[in-house]
Amino acid sequence: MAMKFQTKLIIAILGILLAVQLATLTSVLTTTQLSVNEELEQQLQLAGNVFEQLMETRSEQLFNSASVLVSDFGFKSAAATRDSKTIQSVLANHGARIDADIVSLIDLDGVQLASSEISENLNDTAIYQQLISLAEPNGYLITNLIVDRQPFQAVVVSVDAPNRIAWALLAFSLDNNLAMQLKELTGLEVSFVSAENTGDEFVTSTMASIQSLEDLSPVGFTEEQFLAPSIWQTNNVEHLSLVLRLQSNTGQLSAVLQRPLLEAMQGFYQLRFDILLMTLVATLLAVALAIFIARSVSKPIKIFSSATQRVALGDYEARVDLNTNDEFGALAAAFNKMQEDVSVREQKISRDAHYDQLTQLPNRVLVIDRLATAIDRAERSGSQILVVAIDIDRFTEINTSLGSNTGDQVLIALAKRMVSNVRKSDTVAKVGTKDFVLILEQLERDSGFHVIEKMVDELKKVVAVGSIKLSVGFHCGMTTYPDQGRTGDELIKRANIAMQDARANRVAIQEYREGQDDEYNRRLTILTDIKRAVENDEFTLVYQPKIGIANRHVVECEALIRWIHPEQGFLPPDEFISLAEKFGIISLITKWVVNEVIKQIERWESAGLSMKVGINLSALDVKDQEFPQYVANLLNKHRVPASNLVMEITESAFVQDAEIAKAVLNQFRKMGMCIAIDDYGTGYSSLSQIRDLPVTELKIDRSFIMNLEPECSDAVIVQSTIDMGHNMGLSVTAEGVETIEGVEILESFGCDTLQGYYFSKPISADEFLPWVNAFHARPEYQPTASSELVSRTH
Amino acid sequence: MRANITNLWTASFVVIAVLTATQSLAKELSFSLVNETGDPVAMAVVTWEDSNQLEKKVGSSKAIMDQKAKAFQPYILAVSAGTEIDFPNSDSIHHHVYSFSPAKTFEIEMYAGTLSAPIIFDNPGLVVLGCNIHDVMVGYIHVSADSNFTQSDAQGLVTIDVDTESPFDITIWHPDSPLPNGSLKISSEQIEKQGGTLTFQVANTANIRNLSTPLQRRFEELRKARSEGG
Repeated sequence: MAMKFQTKLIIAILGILLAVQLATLTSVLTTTQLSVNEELEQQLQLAGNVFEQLMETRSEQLFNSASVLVSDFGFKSAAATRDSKTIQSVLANHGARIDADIVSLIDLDGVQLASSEISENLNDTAIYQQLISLAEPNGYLITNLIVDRQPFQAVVVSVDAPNRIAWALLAFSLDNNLAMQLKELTGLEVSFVSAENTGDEFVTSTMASIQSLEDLSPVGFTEEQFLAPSIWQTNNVEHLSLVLRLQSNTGQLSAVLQRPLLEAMQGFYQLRFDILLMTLVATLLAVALAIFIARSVSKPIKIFSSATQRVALGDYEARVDLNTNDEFGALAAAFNKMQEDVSVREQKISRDAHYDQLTQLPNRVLVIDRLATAIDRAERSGSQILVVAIDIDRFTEINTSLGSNTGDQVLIALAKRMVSNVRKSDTVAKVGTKDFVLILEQLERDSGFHVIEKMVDELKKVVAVGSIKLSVGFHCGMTTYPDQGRTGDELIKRANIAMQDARANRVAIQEYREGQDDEYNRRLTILTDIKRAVENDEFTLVYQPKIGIANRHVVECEALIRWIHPEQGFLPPDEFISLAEKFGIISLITKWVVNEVIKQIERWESAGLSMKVGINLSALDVKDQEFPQYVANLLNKHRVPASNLVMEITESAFVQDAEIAKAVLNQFRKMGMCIAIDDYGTGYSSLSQIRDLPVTELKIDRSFIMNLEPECSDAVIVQSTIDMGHNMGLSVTAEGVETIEGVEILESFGCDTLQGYYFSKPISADEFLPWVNAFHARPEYQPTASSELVSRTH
Repeated sequence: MRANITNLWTASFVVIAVLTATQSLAKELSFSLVNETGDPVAMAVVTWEDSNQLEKKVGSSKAIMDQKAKAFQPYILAVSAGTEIDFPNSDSIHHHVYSFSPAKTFEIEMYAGTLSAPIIFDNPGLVVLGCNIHDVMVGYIHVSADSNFTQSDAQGLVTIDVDTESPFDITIWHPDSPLPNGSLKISSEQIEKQGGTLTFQVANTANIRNLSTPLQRRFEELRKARSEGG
């Protein structure tokens, strides 16, 4: 789990703090320890100096005492007597005066005359001679002696009467009393260690438990100990110790000055304790501070975090209440501002999502929602709902001719009228550019119908936009819940179907009829299947020959499309072609046809048949300016001359957007194709329109040809049309030629080409070539065997 | 400290002996004792062997060992055995003269002025005199068995009268000489060869004798101040 920010901050602050504290502590303690050690050593050295000074002073005092003693006339007199007993008595007497422990009188040659000490150890002429030789230059000697392992401070002085007559030796024991006195003066434990040359040590110490050198120093003496203070264990306690070598003429004498380390370090330990305590207190304070800072940072973050979650859930009401003067306060203000802005924007987006921006009416999304709610209510109350789909007639024309701004104004005005003609509880929604839906709740079908009629009457009234006044037509489709649909989708879809029906029937209001939906669905299926059919080559082409009247030869043919639907079987071309035109996907079919035809021409060419083939174009095809290039590419690809193609269009195809159609047709014509007007006579084209187009051929609609008889009205029309076409330089084809009479009449009228069941029904590409060969082989005009099959074909 | 004072330093003296020719049998030998710095060595005791003059001087000869300015006067006194010596005290202070020397052990306790009875030094030998209350005071009495002795004068001049012309041995002694027993033995021939000067190592006692302790100097100053004031 990720560490909390607060924890991180505390750890960071503490880490830095502890590092600094540790460094400081280490530095302070190390420095202090060093300084304390140094000071202790200096103290000890100083104490050593004091000790030496004290010893020296004591020696001086002893010397002075001794000097006075030997200057005593009685002493001199006794010494001069050379009487051993007298001398002994005076030594005892006078020695006691100065508390000497040993008194000896030695003659100038080093021979002991008398001594208080019977020790053989001292009564040695060699030793005396050594001492005397040392005393000789100054007349005295101050030294230390070890006698029977006991240490002594000793003075050798000359006895003058008045000239030197003897030497007196006075020695004073370095005993425990002295050690205690020195301890009082120096504050140190004092031990004297005397060792005669035999190596046997004797220890006198202020510490009662010290009896031997081993007690004092388990490792004995080392050279280092004489150089500087050192630390060793005495009585199992660490002592800072200094060993002083005392000058001695017999054996070795050392003084050991010691201080228990614990006692010496007492001040340092106190200091260290204080420092540690201060560090601890500082650390605790810092921790508290760190937590406080971390909290003061993380608390606003928590507030922001929860506020963010709240906003994410869509709650824009609660504000972040953080009235501090710092960055967090500023952030809180910014956050609140953002929250308000988001709230406003979301409301706007929500409104845009549910309402039409132009009319402020509910849109498709909302109307479905409202309808669902209405259905719920109606279901509970057992009431009815009327759903009305309204389409404005020819609104596109208004937009195109008067501008979209005017169109918008018209829509707004009409929307207002709709709203004012229904109850408040009803819903008026705008679901498309010009499509409206009404939801009328709790209304019987009949009364609802009246409401709608009344409203349509109102809507039809003149709409004034600025100076423009116009009236608009409407088509309404109506469904009723629950009879004509149980779901919102169903009701709206069926209302739309009814509305389209109304438009088709040119009525204002059309109620949905049962089954309309199925037909609509079927058409929808066909429409969606067209794409698949193109991809899967479900379409096939059949070809109907056109016979030139002059030489009775097959000169051209017309390609006609057929579709055997996998599920619905044969579908009439009129139906799916008109559907494809209506939904703007006719070019898919046309392109497929062009492709197939060109390939077929290529195949025929290779089979030795040169054939012109007519292709039916729809109105949309001639509006596609890219289309000529598409065709040209295909021709190039298959090396088929453009003159092999005849583009057939109906009159209605070029009535709309005539200029574009003209441009497209001109391109085809330039490429060398022929242009034919198909179904001529059924449309509303004028001759002037035809004259403007690069037309080469007129195909008279079959309705004029099928029942052609001499002297009938059709004959007049056909004759005049043929004449007119010829006058305009066009060739004329008659479609739907089914009888020999018709052939004869048309021949008499001077028609150029004939097409119809009299010669052949449309046949497959495979059948076509054999048929052509067979036809050309016959000398007479004979009806084909299949002429009984009279089925209407395109 | 006394030890320091008595051992301050030892100087080397050159004894210059001046030999003087004698006219008759009675021959006179003169020489000078000089230390190395050219200073004469005074009061050195010179003894010699004279086989023709063996008579002992006994009886009533007298001598005086005075005490002036906290010093024995003379420093060295050479006498023959049997001499009576007076120990007058010319100082205004008391003295306590003593001797532990085997030749004559005596003690004249605290006295001032002239002692009533002189002390007879009847045994030959060296007597070292001291004063029990003035440690710096040292004096020497050289007691000879015969009369063949003399002392160098203030100029270090020594004159010896002998009856023989044959060589004889001479002993020169001075208490401050670092030589063994403070004495030098030399033959008359050798002295003659040396051309009248003889080197004789003697500690510079004149300087030492004049030294006193700081305490004594302090008392001296006090005394002077009192007498001047009085």
